[in-house]
Amino acid sequence: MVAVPAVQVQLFATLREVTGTSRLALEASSVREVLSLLASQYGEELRRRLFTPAGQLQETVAVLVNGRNIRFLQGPDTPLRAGDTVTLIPPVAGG
Amino acid sequence: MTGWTGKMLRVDLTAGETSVEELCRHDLRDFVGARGLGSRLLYVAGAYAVDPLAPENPLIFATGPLTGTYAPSGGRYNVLCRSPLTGAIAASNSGGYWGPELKFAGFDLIYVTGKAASPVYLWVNDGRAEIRPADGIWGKTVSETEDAVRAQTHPEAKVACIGPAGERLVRIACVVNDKSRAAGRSGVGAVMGSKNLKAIAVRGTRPVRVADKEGFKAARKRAMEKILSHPVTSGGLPTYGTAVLVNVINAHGAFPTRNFQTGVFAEAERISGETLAKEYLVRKKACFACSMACGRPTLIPSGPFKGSGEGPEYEAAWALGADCGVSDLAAVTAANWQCNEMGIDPISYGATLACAMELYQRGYLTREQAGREMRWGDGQLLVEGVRLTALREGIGNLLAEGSYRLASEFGHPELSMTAKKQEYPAYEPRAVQGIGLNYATSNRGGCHVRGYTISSEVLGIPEKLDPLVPDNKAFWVKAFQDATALVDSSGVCLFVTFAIGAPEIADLLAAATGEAYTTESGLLAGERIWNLERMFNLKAGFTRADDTLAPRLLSEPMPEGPARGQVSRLEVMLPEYYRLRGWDEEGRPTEETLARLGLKW
Repeated sequence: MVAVPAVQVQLFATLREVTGTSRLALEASSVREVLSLLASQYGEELRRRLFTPAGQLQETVAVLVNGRNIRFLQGPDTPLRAGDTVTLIPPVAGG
Repeated sequence: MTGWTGKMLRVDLTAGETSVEELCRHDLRDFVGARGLGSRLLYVAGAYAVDPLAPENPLIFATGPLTGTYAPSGGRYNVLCRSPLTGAIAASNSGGYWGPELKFAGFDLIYVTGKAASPVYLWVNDGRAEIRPADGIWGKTVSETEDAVRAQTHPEAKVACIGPAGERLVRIACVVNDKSRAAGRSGVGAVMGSKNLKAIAVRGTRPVRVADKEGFKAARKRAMEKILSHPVTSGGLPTYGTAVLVNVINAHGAFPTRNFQTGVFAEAERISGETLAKEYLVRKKACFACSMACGRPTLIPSGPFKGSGEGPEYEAAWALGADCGVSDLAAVTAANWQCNEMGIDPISYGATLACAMELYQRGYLTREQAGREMRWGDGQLLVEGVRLTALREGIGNLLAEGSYRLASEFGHPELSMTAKKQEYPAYEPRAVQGIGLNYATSNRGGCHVRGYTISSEVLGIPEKLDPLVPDNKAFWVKAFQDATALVDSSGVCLFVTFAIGAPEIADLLAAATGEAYTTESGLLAGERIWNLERMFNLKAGFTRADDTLAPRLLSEPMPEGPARGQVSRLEVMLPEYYRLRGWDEEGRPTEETLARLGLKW
């Protein structure tokens, strides 16, 4: 049996307020698994912020794996390895 | 006229005279206002050939046709001159309430030349202007100056002024209005100081007229609907302000740290927008006609940095924080307040101190030369250094010259993180390729708000681009630069462009001015303004060789983080950029390009 990788999840801005945490550890082998674990753990409010009603990742939410946006990796199917950091960023901006 | 007032206040400080002149409608239409119109006037005056600190350098305070109209976030004005920091054209943009008040007083712009024999301030009151002595005001900080000038003029006057830094011709001094909104970059405050002009107080009671009231109302409604429904302009910015980017940019490995020696700051969390909101944020604060309210009044209740003020914004949090290795948010916040009071650009100040710290780290600047230790992370030095710089005392006299002159003084100009001698802002060109091209080609030197490709390369607005690849970045840099020139010239805040674009701006301009602005003609005006600024710089002696980045960014691979191993690919992007701009291989606009834009040398 293959062990599920232990990964770190970082949350910023409003996603911290919804979850009450800035960082947590999870076991997941893909980004998709991280997102669904989070949605089940933190309920409807977080699910609504992460996913469209059709279940797609919100365009305005950025997900990074070790600092790279998953759009330039394999999207939600991006595989994870032990020790990876997954960062979830809600729509923010500045300048 | 509508939108514009059509009037300019000319002030000759040498003669002690003021006069009112009509502005040319042709120029207004083609160069829109604010940054564009001011650039046009500087070019016509031949300001590219003057000593920036000489009386001949025109200092222009210019609004746009949407300033003061209740267009969304329509509260901006620009301060323009030839920069004493860069020698290039300077156009520094500020918000608050001063710009709209100048329109209410009946003027699109104030054009100042000459030098007063002793310190003065200017009082502009509903179409009339008076030059008054500033004897008891010279030497005061920004908030003291504003209070004193208001006491001598009118309780509702809006005041733009310099602090002690501008008086001492500090090359990174800014002009501050409404106590904490700054025309921050390129040393425009030093030019004001060189004229012995301490402040300009304005008061006006005449509303800005628009050409098509119903059309303007409808255009404003369409724009506001987008701004109020976009998650960034209705949620992210109002909730957290700009400093929310600290953690975001750091997570991308693009947060310049210790003078751009790396792109990751291990202690970013401690100086982040989230921490600021938890520890020191008092409330939100908005500029004129703005729904976003990204301003951040702050208070430190106790400890060595106890006090209150405004900010830091993202850029200041970075420059005063990560770039100097400082993770004490109280020190960063207090240093930012000091910059506001002394009238210093916190980006260039932090980046210049960071440069001094690296010179010290490498043994190029000794303790004896500096008069003290210059260690990374020293919050006390960070705060004290602002005053020393403003007063040109001790090491402050070197910091006052900006990082390029400082690093050159000690034989290592390559350690100055600048383009055209102006300090870069808070994004690493090795980790975000397009922003490096923008820094290298920005007409005012290192700057993010000339072509904010971070919007696409990091934030995904309007579309997501891979920050690590140079492909197609020349196209996007040009597009951002041209659109921004239009926005800056119109008088609305750049932040509205997270939600709206050229079509909405053109609709507002057309309804306000009665001129037939369209998306296409608006963007063409932006391109015209960009090329005019370029022509100014070419006449000032800049060449292709100045469109570059610090050697570190071009040849030293990023040591860690998501961009590990990367360098800036400027050599790939720059020729493509010149081609798209219609410039020759030396970066000069071709005759065809000038003809297309209606420009002449």
